[in-house]
Amino acid sequence: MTDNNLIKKLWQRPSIIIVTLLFLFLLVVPKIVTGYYLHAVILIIMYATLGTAWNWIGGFAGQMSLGNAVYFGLGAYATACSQLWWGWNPWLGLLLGIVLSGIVAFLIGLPCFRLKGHYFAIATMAVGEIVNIIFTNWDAAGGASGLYLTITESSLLNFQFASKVPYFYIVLVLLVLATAITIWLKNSRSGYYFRAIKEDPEAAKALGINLVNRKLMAIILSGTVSSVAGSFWINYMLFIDPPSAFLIMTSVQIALIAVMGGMGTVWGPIVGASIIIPLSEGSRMFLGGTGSGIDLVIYGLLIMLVAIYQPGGIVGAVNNYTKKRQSKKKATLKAVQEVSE
Amino acid sequence: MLEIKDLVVSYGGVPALFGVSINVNDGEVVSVVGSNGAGKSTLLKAISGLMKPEGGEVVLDGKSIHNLKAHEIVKQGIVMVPEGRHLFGQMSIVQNLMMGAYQVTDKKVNADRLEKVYSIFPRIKEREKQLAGTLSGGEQQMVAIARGLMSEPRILMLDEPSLGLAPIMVKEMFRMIKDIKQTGVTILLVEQRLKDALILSDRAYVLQTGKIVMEGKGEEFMNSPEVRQAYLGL
Repeated sequence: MTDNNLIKKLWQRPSIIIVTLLFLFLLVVPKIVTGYYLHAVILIIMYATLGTAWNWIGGFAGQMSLGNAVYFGLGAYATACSQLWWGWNPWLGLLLGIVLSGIVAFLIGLPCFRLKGHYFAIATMAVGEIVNIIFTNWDAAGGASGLYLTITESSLLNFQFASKVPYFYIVLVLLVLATAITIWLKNSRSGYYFRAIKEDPEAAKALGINLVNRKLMAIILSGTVSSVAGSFWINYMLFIDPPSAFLIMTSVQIALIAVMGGMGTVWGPIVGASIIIPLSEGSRMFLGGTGSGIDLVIYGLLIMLVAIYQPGGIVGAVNNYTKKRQSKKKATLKAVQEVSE
Repeated sequence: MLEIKDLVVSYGGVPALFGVSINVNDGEVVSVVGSNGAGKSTLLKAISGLMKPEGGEVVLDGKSIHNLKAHEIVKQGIVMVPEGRHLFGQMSIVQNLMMGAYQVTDKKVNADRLEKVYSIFPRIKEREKQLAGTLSGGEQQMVAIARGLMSEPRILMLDEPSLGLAPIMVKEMFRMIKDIKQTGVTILLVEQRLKDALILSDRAYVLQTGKIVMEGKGEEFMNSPEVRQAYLGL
C-alpha cells in the first residue's frame, strides 16, 4: 500500500523521475562517449553551471548581468597566477578565486546596483571589457598571449588528470551543487526576497527589504560559483588567455543559456546549455573557419525568438503546458462528476 | 509621536511639497485629504524614505529619521502600503505576507503575526495558497494592508486604500481600517474620498498644491461649511 502510494506520488511528479534517470545516465556517460564528444559534454555541464549561477542574479533577482564572464575568468586566472607566481596548489588557487570574485562582485555591485534595467546590463558589460583590457596588458599575468599551467602528476590533489573522465565527474559535482543551491533558493526566504526585488522593487523597498544588501548577496553568490567553474576550466584546459576568459561573448552566452532555458527556473540553465553549446560547437565543427561567427548569428536569432514568443524560456513553456493540461483535466473531471450527480 | 516639520520635497527640481507640517499622536487616525496632485502620496513617500526630502524634518519620538534609508525606517516601526497595492503577483498570498515580515527571522513570531493578521482579514486566509495576481481588487488591497501589518508597525500609512474598489468594498475597507485602529496601531491615511476618511479620523489635514491649507478634528471638518462646500460638494 505504502509502496503504491510512493509510486503514485512519483507518478504525479514526473520531474523527479526524469531528473533521477538523467542523473543516473550522466553517471555512465564517460562509458558511452569518449574523446571530443566527452569534451562537449563537459562543456555543456560547465556552461550549465555558469548559467545556473547567472540565474541567481539574473533570473531570480532580476538584475541582467552581462559581465558574469569576469568571475569565470578571475577564477581561472587566480588559479593559474597563484600557481605560477607562488607555486600554490590549484585547490588553494580555487579558494583564492572565490575570495577575489566575491570581492570583485561586491565592488561591481555597489555602484552598478544604483542603475536600473538596461543601464545595469550596460555597466556590467563595460566592467567585463575593462577587466579584459587590464589582463591583456598585464605582462606578469601572461598579457595577451595568456598563461599555461605547469603540468604535474595526475592526481586529485593536483587537480590534473591524464584522462577526461575525472574532469567530467568533478564538473558534474559542481553542477549538482549549483542546482541544489537553486532548489534551496527557490524555496527559501532569501529566494523570495530576490523574486520580490525582481517583481516590484518599489514595493519591496516600502516593506523594508534592504534592496542593496539582497542584490549584493545575489551577485556575490553568483560570482563565487562562476569563479569555481573558471578554476575548473583552467585545470581542464591548462591554458587561459584574456579572450577565452573575459570575452563579452562568453558573458552573453552565459546569460543566453539561462534566458533560453527559463529564467528563475531550476532546470532552465541545464536545458539551455544542452541546446546552445552543441549549437556553437556543431557550427564550429561543421563549418570550420569559414563559418566562424555563424554561432553568434544563431544566438542573435534565438534571443529574438525567445524574447518575442516565449519570455519564460523552454522550461517556462513546458510548465505552462503542463499546468494548462492539468487544469483541463480537473475541469473535465468536475464536469463528469456534475453530470453523474 | 510622529512630527513632520516644514517638509520640502521635489521631483527633479519641480517642488511637490512646500514646507508641510503635520503631527500624528499615538493611537490616532489622521487623514491627509486633497485632490489629485496635491502631494499626498509624495508626503507618504518622503516619510517612508522612498524619496529624500530637500528640507524640513521627520521626527519620530524625538529622533529625526528623514536621513534613514527606507528599510531602516520600517525598522523604526513606520510602514507604508503603497497606492495601487503593488503585490507580488507571481507569489501566493501567504508568501506576499511573509515578505512584509522582513525584519523578523523567528518562525514562531511570524506564525503568531500571521494568525493576528488573518483574524482581521479572515477572507484572505481561505485563499492563502492562491497567487496574489489572481485576486479581486478588494482582496488584493486587503493583502497589501495585511502585508504592511506583518512588520507590526507602530504607524501604518495607507495610500488611497479605496482606489479602484467597488463601492461596497470601499465600505468594508473602511470598516477594516477601523478594526486595525482598535488593535492600537496609529494610522496615517491618505484619501481622496473625503467623507469616508473624515468619519474614520480623529484629525485631518487638507493638502492643496503642496501646502496644508486647513487642519482640524474629523467631525469639525464634516460640519464646517467651507469644507462641505469646497471639498465635499454638499
